[in-house]
Amino acid sequence: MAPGEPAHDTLPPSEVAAALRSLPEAGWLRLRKIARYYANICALEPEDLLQTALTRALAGERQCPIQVDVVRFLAEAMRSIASVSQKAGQAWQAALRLVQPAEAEDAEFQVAALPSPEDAISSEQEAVRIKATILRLFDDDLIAQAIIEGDMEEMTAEDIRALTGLDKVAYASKRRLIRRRIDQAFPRGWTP
Amino acid sequence: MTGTKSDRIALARLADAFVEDVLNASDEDILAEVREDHPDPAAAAAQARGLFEKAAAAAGKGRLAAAQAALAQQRGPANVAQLDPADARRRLQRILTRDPEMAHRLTLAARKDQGQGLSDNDVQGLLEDMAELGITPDDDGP
Repeated sequence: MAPGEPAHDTLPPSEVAAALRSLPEAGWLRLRKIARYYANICALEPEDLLQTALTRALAGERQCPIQVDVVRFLAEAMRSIASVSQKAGQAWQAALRLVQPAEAEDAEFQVAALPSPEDAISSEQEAVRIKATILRLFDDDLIAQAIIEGDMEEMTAEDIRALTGLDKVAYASKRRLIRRRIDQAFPRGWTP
Repeated sequence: MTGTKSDRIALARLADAFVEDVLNASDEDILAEVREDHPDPAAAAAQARGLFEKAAAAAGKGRLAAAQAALAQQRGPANVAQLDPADARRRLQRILTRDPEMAHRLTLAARKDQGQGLSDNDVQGLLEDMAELGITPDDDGP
């Protein structure tokens, strides 16, 4: 296969576009929700994140494997874009620390010359605060806290169910309750 | 439960888990959730679809620009150098003298085009099109 030539097991951009044109309302609503979750972990707005993923998919910069649903493909694209954006934010934080030593005579000027802190992702301290806030929402529900912490530890559903003693239906119901309570507590995303 | 990874990674994993929940939810559940937060789910979906339309338009413009650039490269100086307008008309005339049928069709086309004759650009374009088809004056001079 020549460099740059699309793999045969991926959809050409025209077919990705066709799949999106026929996407039902629920599909678009699903993409909105996914954009919102991944925007929580980077400095991008949900709309910008979704738009970037769509643009890259339609330009052929990201290729959708034939066997993958187009919504899942875009979810993975948004995850990847958010992750890169987050790393860029971390690089910015590191740069900020480098130019802040007190002995540097022009440190203040150098800091001022960097991008606005509002454009950077939340600091690690803010992540600690957000995580604590999320867990506090379930101070009255130790099962929910265990599920959240299981998610944060990347535990499998089976392991979390074994830990909590929930059957599949109760587990699914609890997961929905958790997600919805967090959604409602952070209507503008997980910003402190 | 104490994680060994940073809290930022923990939040990213929580986002992954929520996204997986959303991907696995039924359409009815998604619609019901959106109705709880949004007065008009159809408008919310239309807004997302609007982002797609913008992206599709941008991708279309990008493909058109790339195609035009490729065509310009393909049709560039290798086929027909930009000729002096008078030389170009002489060159076209020699081709048409050799091919009366083409001359007849071109005359009809020119008449159909509001009765005006061929512009210098038309002549240059015709010569380029003919060169692509391998049609050149026998002597291939100007």
